Amino acid sequence: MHEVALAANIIEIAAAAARKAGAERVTVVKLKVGKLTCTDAESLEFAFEVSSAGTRVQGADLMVETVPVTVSCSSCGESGAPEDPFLLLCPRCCSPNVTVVTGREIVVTSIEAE
Amino acid sequence: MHEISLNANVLEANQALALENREIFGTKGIYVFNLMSAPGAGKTTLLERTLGALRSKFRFAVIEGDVQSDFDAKRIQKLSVPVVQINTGGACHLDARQVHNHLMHFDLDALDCLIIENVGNLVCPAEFDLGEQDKVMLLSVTEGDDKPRKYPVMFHVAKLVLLTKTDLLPHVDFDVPAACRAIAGLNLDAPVLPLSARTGEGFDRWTEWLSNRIGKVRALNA
Repeated sequence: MHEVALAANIIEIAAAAARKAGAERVTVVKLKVGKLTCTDAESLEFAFEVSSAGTRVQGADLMVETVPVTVSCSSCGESGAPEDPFLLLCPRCCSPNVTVVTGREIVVTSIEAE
Repeated sequence: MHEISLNANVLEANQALALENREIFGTKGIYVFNLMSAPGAGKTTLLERTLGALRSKFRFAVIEGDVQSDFDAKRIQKLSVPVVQINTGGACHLDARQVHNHLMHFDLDALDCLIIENVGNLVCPAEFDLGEQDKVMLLSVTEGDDKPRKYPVMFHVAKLVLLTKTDLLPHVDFDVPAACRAIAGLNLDAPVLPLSARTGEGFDRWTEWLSNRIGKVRALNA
């Protein structure tokens, strides 16, 4: 259910950007969501639709791009996607000594407004 | 119609407040941990015994997060430890703003450790930084040893995992070594401490771990 909280933030970001640009209506919101954030795109779209009612974001298309998990290995230096995105092991040497490079982000990349 | 490029972090507002909280805790020399687990894993029972064991040594305060009710706060109140209850009214996690807005209920100059008991949930609380120094996670043996693989994200971020309700091990099919292996596979750095808050078995290792963490923060600020 954290999708509701995320949707509220997304709407606020989009509305503020539109306001700043002098636009009346947001038609598209483009979003990147990391796989590790456990965000359900369908729930997010639903929360976005419901929560945006009455704002200048109402009716906008929410376009969600899922960002895969990639890690960088401190043991062998390899970077890439682990075989299992939730089991954070190096794809080459299977070491758990890795740092997450992508997969934790939730970013509004752009909006379209008129 | 025109496209406006933003690259705005959706959790930035929460992150900014979490940083503010962390700065306050750092300045005041308060050790803060965020206690997370599924509902019913024994967070409040753990706290009752922990506070009973350590409250003569350190000054504690507790923030209780629940969707509804003040049952947990009342249990902590009985121990004469300052406590506030936050009801999220449906939300599945606490956020940095809620914690920030409730700090005024405590005398921060007279605190060694603030414990934030998060809403019982194995998914969402991991995403919301509250400004704590550590995330401590509970996994009870009644939940099953496969939970780390089913809900991995919270195990990734835990500093310590407490395996609770070990007094029930004779009655459940919970494979402790398998659970420990699964946790180690997700988070090599998090020690796993098995304990029972009911019988006190294994509890000393936990209170020792906690005393060390509080002591370290105090020493930094001395």
